[in-house]
Amino acid sequence: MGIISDKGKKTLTSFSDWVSANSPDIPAEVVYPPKKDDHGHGHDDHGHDDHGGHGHDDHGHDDHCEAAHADETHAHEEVLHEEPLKEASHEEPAAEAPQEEPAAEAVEAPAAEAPPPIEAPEPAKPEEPVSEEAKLCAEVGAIERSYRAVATICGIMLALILVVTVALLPKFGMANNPTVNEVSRRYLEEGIKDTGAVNTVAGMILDYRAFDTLGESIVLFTATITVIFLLQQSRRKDNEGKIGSTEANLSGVRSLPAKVIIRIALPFSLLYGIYVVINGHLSPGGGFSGGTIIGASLILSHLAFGERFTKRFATVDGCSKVMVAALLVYMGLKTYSVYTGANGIESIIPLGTPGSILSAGLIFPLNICVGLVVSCTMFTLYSLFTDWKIS
Amino acid sequence: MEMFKLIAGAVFIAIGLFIFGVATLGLFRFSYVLNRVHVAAKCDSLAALFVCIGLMFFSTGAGAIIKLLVIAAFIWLTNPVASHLVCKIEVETNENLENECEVEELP
Repeated sequence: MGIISDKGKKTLTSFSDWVSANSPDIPAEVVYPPKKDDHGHGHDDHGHDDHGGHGHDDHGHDDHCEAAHADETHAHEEVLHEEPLKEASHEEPAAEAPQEEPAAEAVEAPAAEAPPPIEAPEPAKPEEPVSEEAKLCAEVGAIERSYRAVATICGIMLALILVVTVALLPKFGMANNPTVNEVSRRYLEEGIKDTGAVNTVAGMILDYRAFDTLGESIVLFTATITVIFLLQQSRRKDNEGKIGSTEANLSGVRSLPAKVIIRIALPFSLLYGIYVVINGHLSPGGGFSGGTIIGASLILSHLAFGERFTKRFATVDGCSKVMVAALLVYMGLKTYSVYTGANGIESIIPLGTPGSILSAGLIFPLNICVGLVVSCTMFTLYSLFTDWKIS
Repeated sequence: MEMFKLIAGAVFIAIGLFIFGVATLGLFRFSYVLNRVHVAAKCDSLAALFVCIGLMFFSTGAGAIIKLLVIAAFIWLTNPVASHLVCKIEVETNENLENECEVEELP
């Protein structure tokens, strides 16, 4: 629909504006990390510009450096070339090029040809830095070639190991496989006694397989942190008042019926989400489902009443702190239980009577931690992408 | 009495499912967003109410009946508002609204 495309265009343009205006301030080490996770964002672009500035006097060396950066096929490229960068250009190739994926290079190489012609009319650089850069590029090329060879060997070995392992696995679906018999029976028969959770699913994901759930929560956390890192810079821009927020596009949503109904429904949905989280070991639900409900409620309030209302009880800063705290508590609790379990020490946390709210040992707090992480992730992502700044 | 409950519940659920079917048909047959929102909003709300009433006949105990009532109330509160917002956004953002339907006065 119109709204989405408008918003996307606006934000992309403003972000690239920011890149061309501010990037010399940012050291290469700081810029680099999000680049790896997120191809095709504005950050890649100033790397492009740097080389574009030199492109006409040493094409031969620049070629592969450029190819490494040529991740983007964005339409907003042209915006950047109006203000090419000159200061940051000497450090950048050394910091970035060696760590680029070789695969990306091969695939994206054709895209690299486009920028240099656009930049051709730029004044030539002084002689000294260019030769330095050329030397760096040659070194980087050698490193990259050896890196590629090592990566190929490692990949082939990994593939062989996996093939051999698959060949050694028991045949799929046989009746006497251990997965069919022992594991599920053990979970179903001993689950309540082992974990104290009436809801066997909660017992599985937060007791037997709690480490896996920790990984899932960390995935959510990492996604949020990456988005925060990518959008962090647009905050300064916003203080200057150059980025228009999306308030105008949301005027339709903030109509009277929506406000009235959301005002009625919001407390109930929040309460229901909390109920699902803290009842996770007794009934279907748990941290992930309840956290999603809570996050949706927060988004709803943000949608209907705006950022000014929502930031009284939920901000991006607060949410990231809550997420870190929840993950740390999760890790601490699980470290305790793994330590006692591995050393045969009796855990001092009582399992309680199955069926009562304060039972199932660690599952109750772990559920709350997971719920906090999920709800904060949802709200943070939404508010970051609508407000485009960190409040 | 049991027989009556069974038949009444079945009839209500059947009516609800029929309305759901009509809504699905309309959703596929109509091509413009306002028509489709119209179908989805009206038929879904009514059908969900009928299915909830039908399920009340089968449920035992006051707790289940109250839960079904709450579900029905929640759907009747939220579904029309959601459809209203979709329509409002469509009207506000579609510049060629006159080509699609009669427009009395643009807000």
